[in-house]
Amino acid sequence: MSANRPRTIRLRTCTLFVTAVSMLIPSTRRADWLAEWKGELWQLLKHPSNVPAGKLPGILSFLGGAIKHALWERQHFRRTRGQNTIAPSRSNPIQRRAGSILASLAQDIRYASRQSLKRPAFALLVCTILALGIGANTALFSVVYGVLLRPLPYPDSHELVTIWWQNTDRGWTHNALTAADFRDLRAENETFEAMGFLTPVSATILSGQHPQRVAAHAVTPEVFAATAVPPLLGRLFLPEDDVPGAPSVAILSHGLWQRDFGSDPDIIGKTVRLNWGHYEIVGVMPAEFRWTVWGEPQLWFPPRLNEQQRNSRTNHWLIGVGRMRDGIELAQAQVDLSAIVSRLEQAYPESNTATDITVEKISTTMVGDVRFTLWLILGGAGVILLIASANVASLYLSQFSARRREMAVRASLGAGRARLLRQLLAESILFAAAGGAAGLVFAHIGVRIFLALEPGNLPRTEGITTNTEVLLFCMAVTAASCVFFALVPALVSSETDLKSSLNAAGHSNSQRPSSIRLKNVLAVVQMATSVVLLAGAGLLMRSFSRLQQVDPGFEVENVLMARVPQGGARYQNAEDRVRFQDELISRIERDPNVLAAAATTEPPLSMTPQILFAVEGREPVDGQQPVVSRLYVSPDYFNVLGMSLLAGRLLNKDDVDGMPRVAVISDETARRFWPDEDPLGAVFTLGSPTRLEVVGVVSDLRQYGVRYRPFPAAFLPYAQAPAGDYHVMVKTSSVPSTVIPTLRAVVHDLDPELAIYGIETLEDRVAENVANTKFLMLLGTAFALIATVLAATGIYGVLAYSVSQRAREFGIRTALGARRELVLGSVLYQGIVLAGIAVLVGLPLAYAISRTMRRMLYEIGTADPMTFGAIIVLVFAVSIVACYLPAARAASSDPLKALRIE
Amino acid sequence: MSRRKKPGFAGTALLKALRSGHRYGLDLMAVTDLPSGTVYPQLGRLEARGFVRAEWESEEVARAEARPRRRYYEITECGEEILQETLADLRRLSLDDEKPARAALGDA
Repeated sequence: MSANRPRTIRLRTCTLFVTAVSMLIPSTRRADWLAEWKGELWQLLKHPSNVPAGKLPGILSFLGGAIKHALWERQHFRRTRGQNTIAPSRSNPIQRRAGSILASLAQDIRYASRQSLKRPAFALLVCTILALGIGANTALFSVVYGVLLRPLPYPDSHELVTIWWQNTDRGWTHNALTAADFRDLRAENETFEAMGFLTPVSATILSGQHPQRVAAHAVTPEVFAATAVPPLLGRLFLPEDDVPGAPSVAILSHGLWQRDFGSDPDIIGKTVRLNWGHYEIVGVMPAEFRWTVWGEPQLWFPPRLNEQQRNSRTNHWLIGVGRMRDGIELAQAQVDLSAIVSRLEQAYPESNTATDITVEKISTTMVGDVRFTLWLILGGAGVILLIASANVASLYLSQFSARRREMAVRASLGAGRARLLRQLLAESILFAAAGGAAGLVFAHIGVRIFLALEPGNLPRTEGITTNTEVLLFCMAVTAASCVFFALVPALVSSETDLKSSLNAAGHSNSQRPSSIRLKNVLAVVQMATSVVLLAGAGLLMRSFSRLQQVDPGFEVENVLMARVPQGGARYQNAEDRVRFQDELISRIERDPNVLAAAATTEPPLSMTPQILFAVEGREPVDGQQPVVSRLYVSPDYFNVLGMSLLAGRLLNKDDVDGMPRVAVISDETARRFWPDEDPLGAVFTLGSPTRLEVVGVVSDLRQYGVRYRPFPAAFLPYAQAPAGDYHVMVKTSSVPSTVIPTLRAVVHDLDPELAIYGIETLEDRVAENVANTKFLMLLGTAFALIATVLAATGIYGVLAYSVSQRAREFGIRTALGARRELVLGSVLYQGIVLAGIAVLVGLPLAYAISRTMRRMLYEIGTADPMTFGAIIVLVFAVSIVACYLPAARAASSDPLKALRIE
Repeated sequence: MSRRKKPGFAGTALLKALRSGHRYGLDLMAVTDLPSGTVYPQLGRLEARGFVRAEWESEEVARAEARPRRRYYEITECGEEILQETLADLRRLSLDDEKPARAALGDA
């Protein structure tokens, strides 16, 4: 009896449970239901030996069944009642249908997860491929979203524009405005609510222990008014701040306020020593106010133009910023301002010739020219996803054929075709969801890698996160790929009647032409699209290697560069500046590691001004006056950069004010303007009426960038340079960084209030100059690599499947005496045909797409025969490798074994 | 082939077990190796479609064996027909190598 006691307790507990569950059941059915379950429970617990489910887990599962049964009973009751009533209020047919579809979908997904656990390798492969494709796309989309699509932190930012001067003759679209022209634009326009200007200025803060150089903008009050962002502390600029003689005021960025002023809440009204004057801080902008038009300034102050600056129509140095009126479109504003500009052209023919105006959205200005690059990269990722989906679709088709048996059984047991399709879709949805989730993780990591490798040309990277938009994109991409890889094969397979496979019982190896054809198409699609990526990567690779071989015209190794601020009022006159600078250079040269030191206004690879150029006694050839780049350099400049003298002499220490004005020109200048004569001794003017005599010719240099051909240049003695920041360049005998302390110490000794900044080596500057091409090349190569590997597995998959399908044929052939090579060859041939079609389809496509990349390439035609030739060889080589394994298997198949399959 | 909806995997297994003489839930569970959550609702479904008939065991028999009454199930003519149809279809698939199907169908 004692042994039976626990059983009795169990029985009571279980009975209690079942009684509770019975409450789910409509009362009319409850008694019957409860009686049946009580009987079953008694049987289960009193005679556990009869039933394998007698142990505790079994009992629990049994009780779970009771809940399920009760729920079914309840639903069944409602359904039958619904059929009997005339106007069922809630369970109308559509709702019922929807409910049953949902229920069967849940069942399908449960079944699918069980099924995929039975084939872990297949599931893992599919999910990994999808995750790669989805991850790459999501990562790049979050970059595109963060940089291009994310709204700017200003209210109604679509109304904000920047305004630039155009010189239609020279094709300059983004020249700066003059103050007088700006004043007229502001006064006469009818489309703007507010219009102001900004101009970048160099600012040195002298309040701290060391002088510190910060990026700053002189801005008129209207610029802040246009952005419509209120200050965090204090106030914005008022019109009375921007008149000559007004007290000096400044506004700080949030970053500068935090970093240098310790987030002082009482900062307003305090003064800061700035550019050798005292400025009162009147405002602090909030953190989200990020202003990236022309650098990212940390500090703003009003320009307070003087009379002469205000009335100039030749000094182009201002960038217009405006807010258009409500409902005004960009084109209307453009037309409005262009009309004013043409009126000005008639009124001031001396200064305003061939002018127009550029009005562009502020987002365009802030993002610059990375837009196209980013979309192109995202497009590349899209191609990867296409290949990945095609790959998975192909895998699916093979699975489909293998599972036709299972499907036939289910059909014969009563499953309709729609139900079977749903079942297969459920499985794809499951894989897609898993792939999408893993892809999201990949994307999160991928974005970090992307940003780490990106050479720093990308604006607004601080806002790149995995946000709602990115999640939605990820889901959309997942759904799209799911439709592609699951629906296409499912529909193709359902074309063939499942009953025919019932009738063909036993012949599981029979091929269905539509599925084979689709697999071939998928393989070709993968290979062809990877040809496109290979072409992109190949062209970038060739461009980069060309760029690496370019001689920039100067020696890159062991040159250190630093910027020295102009030094304020103490160096206003040229003599003081030259004295300071001579002293600076001679002290630097005392360092034993220094071979030579020089100063220049324009270091290599910088935006150097191009000045109107005229040879004395000669009229411009076609009426248009040519321009050359103007560089002020100290005598050792040529030595530091290792440029060679071709004729005449270099500049020297005697070329100072008071001596005859002289210039050294580059070879390109000599060739272009004195093609058949000796330029030495010739006289020309550069912008101003000052006559300059050519005393020497030096070798060419690529001043604007490694990828730009040498532009005509004229080198003028530094002693005649206007006031402004300049660059010190030091040629060292060892690692350049060893002289940085010397540089700092020398400047500090000479003037403790000067902050040198922008220290870098020329080598870094050159690397930075080609970094974009290098980055694109690396990314393109990675994409092409992934694509090719996927495409190769695609071809492998098709052939492996085909070989397994044709095992019998090969067996018979071998049995009839076919040589091994013949079988091998017939499979290889199949692969080569596929690769051939892929190349035929892919090459024109690649050519078309590479044309859009033209401006990213360097001295490589978009139809570069070497690149395309290499791609053809590569595609065939990869295809043959992919084919070899299945081919070898076919060739070595044992005829007896193959025949025995039937 | 009939246009009637076929009983499905579990339903076929249960019909087959019922035909070979197994009559109540727990017994059917043991012989088909299907879980309780499948067997009972499935029996209800088969009953609703008329493939199966259910009736209570007489009070006397239960009392004599000192246990609660059992609910016994029995295959109907209609159920017999659909089972034959389904099995014929399966046979055309030559299910000899379909081991899982054989196990689940209780090929006893």
